This record gives sequence, C-alpha cells and structure tokens, in this order.
Amino acid sequence: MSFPDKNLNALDRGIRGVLGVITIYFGLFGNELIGDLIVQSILVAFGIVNLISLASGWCIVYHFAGINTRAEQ
Amino acid sequence: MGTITQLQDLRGLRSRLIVASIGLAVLVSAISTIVANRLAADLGQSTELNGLETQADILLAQVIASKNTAYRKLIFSSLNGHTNNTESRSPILFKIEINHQEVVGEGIDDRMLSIIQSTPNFDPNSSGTIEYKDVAYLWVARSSGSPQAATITLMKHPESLEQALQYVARRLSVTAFLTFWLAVWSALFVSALIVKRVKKNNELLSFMATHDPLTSLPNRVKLIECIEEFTRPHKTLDISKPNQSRAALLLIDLDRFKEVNDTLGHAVGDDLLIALSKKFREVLSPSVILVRIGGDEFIVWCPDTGIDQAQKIANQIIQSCREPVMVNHNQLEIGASIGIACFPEHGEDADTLVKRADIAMYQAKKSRQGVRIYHEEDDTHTILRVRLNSELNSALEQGQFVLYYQPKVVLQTRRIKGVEALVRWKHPELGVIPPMDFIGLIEQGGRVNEFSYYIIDQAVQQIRQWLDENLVITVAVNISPFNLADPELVPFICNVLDRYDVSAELLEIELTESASMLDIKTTKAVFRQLRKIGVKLSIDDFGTGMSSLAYLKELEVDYIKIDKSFVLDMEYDSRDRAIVRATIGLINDLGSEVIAEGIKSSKAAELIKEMGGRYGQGYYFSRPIPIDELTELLPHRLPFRNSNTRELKADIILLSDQRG
Repeated sequence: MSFPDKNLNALDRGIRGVLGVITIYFGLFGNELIGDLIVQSILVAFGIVNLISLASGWCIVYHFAGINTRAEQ
Repeated sequence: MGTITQLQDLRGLRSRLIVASIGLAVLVSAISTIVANRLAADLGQSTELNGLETQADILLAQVIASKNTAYRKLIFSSLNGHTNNTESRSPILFKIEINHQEVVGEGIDDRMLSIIQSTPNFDPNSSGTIEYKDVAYLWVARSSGSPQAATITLMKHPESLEQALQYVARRLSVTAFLTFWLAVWSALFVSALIVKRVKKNNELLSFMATHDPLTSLPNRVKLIECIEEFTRPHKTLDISKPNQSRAALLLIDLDRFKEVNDTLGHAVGDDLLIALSKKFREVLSPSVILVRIGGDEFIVWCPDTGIDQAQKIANQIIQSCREPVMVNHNQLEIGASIGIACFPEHGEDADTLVKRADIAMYQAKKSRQGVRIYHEEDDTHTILRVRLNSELNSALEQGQFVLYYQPKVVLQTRRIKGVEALVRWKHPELGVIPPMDFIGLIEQGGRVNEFSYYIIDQAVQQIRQWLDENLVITVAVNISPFNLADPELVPFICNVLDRYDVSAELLEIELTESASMLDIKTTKAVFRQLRKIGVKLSIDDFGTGMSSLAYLKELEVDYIKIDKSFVLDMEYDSRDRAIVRATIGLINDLGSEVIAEGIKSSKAAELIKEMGGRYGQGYYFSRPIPIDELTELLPHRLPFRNSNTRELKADIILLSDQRG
C-alpha cells in the first residue's frame, strides 16, 4: 500500500507508537479492567490505526485537515 | 466597512473552531459519564434496598412466629452467614424490639436509630439511606401491629454497589477516552473543512470585489490598493533625490467604442473589450498592472517607470489597438487615446494621478495626438470643457450653433462648385468655439441625432435661400457614425427636403473614412437608402482610416475627399505626391470624383489638376466663413482677395478648422 507524502515528524510518530501499543494491550488484555468486548475491539482498532501511522509516517486525519508536522521541522 | 485584507485574514478561526469542537466533546462526554454513573448508582441502590426489604419481611415473619428468644437470636445471626463461618465484608446490622424492649441487636446503636427515625417521611414500615460517621448505609424498618408488637431494623453499608460503580466508571472512562479521541479527529477534520471553504469563498469574494467581471482584469479598488502600496514608502522620501523610484499611470480611452456599442450592440462591445484587454495584456510586461475602470477606459499602472518608458508603453498599446480585431465576424478597427501622469511629478496619490491622466487623455483625444503627458495648462481646458458641457443644452435650444461654409472649387474653372457646412458654436461670452471643443461633448451626451437634425435642417434651409436668389449650390453636411444607427435619419432628410422643396442632389452627406468602415454593413445600407432618394455621398479624410480596398469597392459614393495630410506638403514631399497621384487614379477608376482637401497654394491646386483631380478645397481658396461673407463671394471667381479674409493662416489652424 502506498501513501501520499509523509506528514508526521519523529515525535508525532513516537507518541502514536506508544499510544498504539498501550491501547492494543488494553484492548487484548484489559478484560478485568474493561470487560466489554465492543470497547476492547474499538481500542484494538485505534491501536492498529496508530501503528499504521507510525509505520507509514502518514495520518489520514492530518491529510484531510491539512496539517503537516513533518514540514514544520 | 471592512477592507479586502480583513476578508482574507482567517487567523484564529481555525484554532477557535478546534477549541470549540473539543470543548463540546469534553462537555458531552462529561455529561454522559455523570448521567450513566448516577443511573447505575440509582439502579444498584434500589436493587440492594429491595433485597434488604425482602430479608426484613422474611425475618419479621419468622420473629413473630417464634416465641423462643434464643431461636430468634439464631435467626438473626444467620443473616451474616455466621453459621457458615464466612464473614461478609459488609455485614448486615440489625436490631429487634418486641414490646418496645430490645431482644437482640448487632451494630445498631441508639444514635443510629434516632438518625433513621428523624429522616423525613419516616414510618415503622419504610426504607431509605442515611450517612453515619461519613459512611453511607441502607436501612429498612419493619413493624408488626399488636398483639405482639415487633420492630425490626436492618442496616447495610452497600459495598457491592460501590464495587459495581467502580466497574461502571472504569468502562465509562475508557469510552470517554475513545470519544475524546474521536472528537479531536473530527475537530481537526471539520475545522479544516470549514476553514478551507471559508477561505475559498473569501478569496472568491475578494476577487469579485477587486476585479472586473467582464474582462477579469483588476478594477479601481485593486488599482488604488496597488498605487497606495507603491506610494506609501515614498511619501517620506525627498522628491529631489535622483534615485527616487518613479511610476507612471496611463489612462487608455478607446476611440469610437461608443459607436461600436451603439451600432453593433452591447454584446459585440463586450466581446471587443475582452479581446482588447487580452491584447493589452500581451503587449504589457507582467510587472505592470492593467485595470479596467469602467466603460471603455483602462488604466495601466507602471511601477518604477520613467516618462520616456511610459511613452514607449503607451505607443505600444496604441499600435496594438490599431490592428483590426475580429469580433462576431465583424472586423473592428478601433483607436485609443492615452493620457500619462507620472508619480511623483504629477501627483502623489491615486486620485490625483487618475484625474490628471484623465485630463491628459482628453487633450490627447481632442488633438488626435494619441498619447499625451499631463501638463499643468491642460487643467484650464478641462475647466472649459466642464463649462461647455453644462451649457450645451441651452445652446442647442437657443440656436447658438451656426454653420460656416468652406467652398469647394472646380480646379479647372476656379468656380465654386459647392460648399461644405462646418458647425461653429457662437458662444455669447467665449466667442466662436471650434467643433473639436464640443463635438465630443455632444457625442458623449447622447444628443448626436438631435444635433445632426438641426445641422441638416439649417443646411437645407440655406440651399432654399440660395435657390430663391437663383444660386444653385450644393451643401455638404458631415454626419457622425452614430447617425448611421438612427433609423429616422433617412426619413428625416426626405422630410426636410420636401419641406423646403429642395432637390435631393443639392444635399451632400459626408462621412469620414474611419467612421464608414466601422460597420460596413450598416454604412452600406444607409448609403443605399440615401442614394435612392438622390442625396450625394462622400467619404471624408480618405487615406487616414486604414480602410480595406475591398470595402471601398463595395461603397458606391459620389465623392472621395483625399485627406489634407497628404495634400498639404505635396509640393515638397515626393512621397505625398506619389500617394495623392495614385489615390486620384484609384478614385477616378472607381467611378467617384476626387476632392482634394488642404490646398494651400496655387501650385498645389495646379498639381492636383494635372494629376486628374477635379475639385479642391482649402485655405488657398477660402477658410470656412460665415454665410454673409460667403454670399459676397459667390458670384466671383476664386481665388478671391477679400480684405476681410485673412488667407493662408498657420497650418495648425487649418488642421483644426477642417473638421466639422
């Protein structure tokens, strides 16, 4: 899959990576804490979206909003 | 009212939209969390209270049934599972009174009991919640009536409810986190979308406000903005400094545009303006700004341009303007007059520069110079123009316009063949005003038809007067191209000829070459009608209008008048001579008669005669003169030597006097 021009800087990608891992962890192993399948599935989906952003350096929301943290650096 | 720059300023809109969207998301999340939490708490509480009430009802029944005190104690101790040795973390507190004496109790003291009994709406069979030493308790009271009055009070700290609430709160907070995240995304997305749309609309609005819708060129608003931007930093500098930046403002006014609009319609006029604006843009360098300020007026603002360069640019524009333009299958030839005002010499602000360029343009148009740089003395001409314009109506009503006549002479016999009627304004205070000072005003004022009718009437009346004196003299009247579009012209001429009982061939209609070529179809149609009634036709100023010979072939006219610019110097200029000779040959071969304008000497008259020209007109014979002077000359041969007539005035007067 190819993405348009990257629009995330290193810090942005880092934050997304951490958030992605945390949300996926809670989505998969947060049964005790959350205990709701729907909420957990959404958390996993969010996490995956963030990990995709981390890997590709591109965020679809930034793309449509016209934000580019990469260019500001 | 705001400015265009304010319209383009969108700073803050986006951040405000984001803050507002996120704020709204936080508020909605908070409200839904609180409501869900309270709902869960209420549900849990009522469930626990129901359970406690059921227990109390069962206990009361058992207590009443058993008489044995020890058994009653056992019943109560089983409440908290004491019998199974499993202790609940939140034990049920209880108290039982029979006949107002405590039989058994655990954990409930008198103080607790008094708090319960002091709750509003307390009755012996009710339930509710109290707070005791910062701990919340559920309570249930049950009482049986006589004969054996038993009262049971149960109390419980709802720990399982708290656990449930914690559980609910965790789930809600995760959901709130997700909602918040989504809200941030949508805030970014929606704000970007709104800002983008607003920006686009504002750009369109500011474009519309600063551009002319027809040609898409910038308009006056944009021009003033550009001039102010350029002049602002210069206002503080010393004008005498040699390296001071300069600029030029060129005001272009199209010649004969009104005629195109009136004869061919506004759609053609609009197309012509679009075509010309493109042409101008091609000629001009990208650094200059071309503006349409309305009608057929354009302004070129040239920053960092001196007078010489401005003049060069103006000449380029005039050149490009002279090339024929094809619009709607009409080949249009249009001229332009340009006035130049320079910054900072002629003005330091937009208003002054435009005003002075306009004054210069008017002078250029009047003197047919093409381009003119503003001079201070032009101001007085402008004042005169404004005055004449205001007095035009009353002058027409009071008949202040009179005809002067310039004889046309048969070169062979030197006899007067006819006269050309030239209009003068006999102003009560300013004296005799030449036509070039007021014809433009009449054309702009839209009173051309009325004016031409007046002149034609005067001319025919004069023919009648001469006929009454047994003089048969043709009179030529100049008409404007505007008259061609007037369907009443030919009927009017018929009417006038009838009224004065004058033969049509004594009236001659003159139209300049450039005017007749403007819209060849209309010209042909009107000429055909005029020929039909017998009026003589002639083309004036031939050789200056850049007409196509193909068109000339189509126009059947009786006379063609060679422009004076070729005749004046032909004695000395062999090239002029060559042109005149060839033109005479051409006109003769086309079957029309030649009239040479601008004959200022006997030699010129002889030359024309030798070349085959039959008629001549010019200062050598006579300048345009009033009727009484002319009447004296009529029986005589020309050239005459009348002491009242100052012959052979300077060329410049001759040039100006020839139009009418």
